[in-house]
Amino acid sequence: MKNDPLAAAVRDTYDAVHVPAYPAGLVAAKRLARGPRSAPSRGLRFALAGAVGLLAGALFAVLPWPQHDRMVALFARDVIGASRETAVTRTVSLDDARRLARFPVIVPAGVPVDSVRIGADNASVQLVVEPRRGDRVLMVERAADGDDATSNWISGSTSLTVLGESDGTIVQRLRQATAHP
Amino acid sequence: MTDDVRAAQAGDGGARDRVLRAFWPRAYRLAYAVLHQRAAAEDAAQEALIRVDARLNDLRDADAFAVWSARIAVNAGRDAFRRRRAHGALHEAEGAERFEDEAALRLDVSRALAALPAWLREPVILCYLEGFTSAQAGEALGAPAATIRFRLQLARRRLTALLVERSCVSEEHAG
Repeated sequence: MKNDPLAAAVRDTYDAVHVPAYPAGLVAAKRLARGPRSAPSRGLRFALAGAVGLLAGALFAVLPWPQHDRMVALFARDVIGASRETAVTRTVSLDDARRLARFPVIVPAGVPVDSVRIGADNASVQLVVEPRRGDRVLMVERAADGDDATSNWISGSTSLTVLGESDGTIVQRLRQATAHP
Repeated sequence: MTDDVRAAQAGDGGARDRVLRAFWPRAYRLAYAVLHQRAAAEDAAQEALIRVDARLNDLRDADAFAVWSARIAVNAGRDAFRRRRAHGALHEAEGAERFEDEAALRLDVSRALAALPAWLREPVILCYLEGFTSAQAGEALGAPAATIRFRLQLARRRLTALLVERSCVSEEHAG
């Protein structure tokens, strides 16, 4: 702090300024007006944001269709084919899908199937398969024109969509997993 | 003070009250330094007090409370100044009030300070009354430290000139 006469004079001047009484009533009234909850701390806000993120991730993983479809449409990356299923679909078991579909539903052998949905006209089936833990692929199948539609799962599918992050080899792993059905 | 700030942020109501009560005279004097009008300074200081109370949990570094709260007080003073000027209630050179019961020196210094524009008065009050460095004053006022040093030097020259006219400060102390 500067200690020359001018600085001292300035300090004296402002020190001599009469300060009104502390407005305790005003502070209390403003607090009441703001409500009983004070603003959360920065750490708490980060924690809340993290919790919301986790919740959103969990919802993405478990939400039933068609919310899932919308998420896929927003974030997924097409690997084969560009068509997307926009028709109304419903969740069914794999057995029901095989029974209801107007074409043979092809399932990659040895690859777990997470969920199955069938189109409203039973003309298409959506399968979410997991060729490896963490890898999830959406397969959309329709009746194929070729005679070999039932002989190869990839020809039975009209599109494959990698769900979530992809290192570019998910479909390759899917092929490898089903190389010897 | 820093411990009280930390305790207040952690939810200690008593510490929060101590922080606010300690801040109040600073808030008033800082607002007064900007406005040089007592009633307006009280309003602005109350506004600053409310803002500090509401935003205290947003302050990351409790050690920075002095600068942070000073910035809030100065800004509240500036806001009040702009409002009053917009309504024609205050002209910068007309803001000084008389200290009827004060010594002549204080009266003259007060008048000299009141004659300064706020942008020169603010660095003076922050550096001389609050004991801020030019960097801290710059942080509080939103200006580079070099700008603060320049304003401080200019303010000293003007104050000295005004006070020398009144023979309050001898020329040997000027500058």
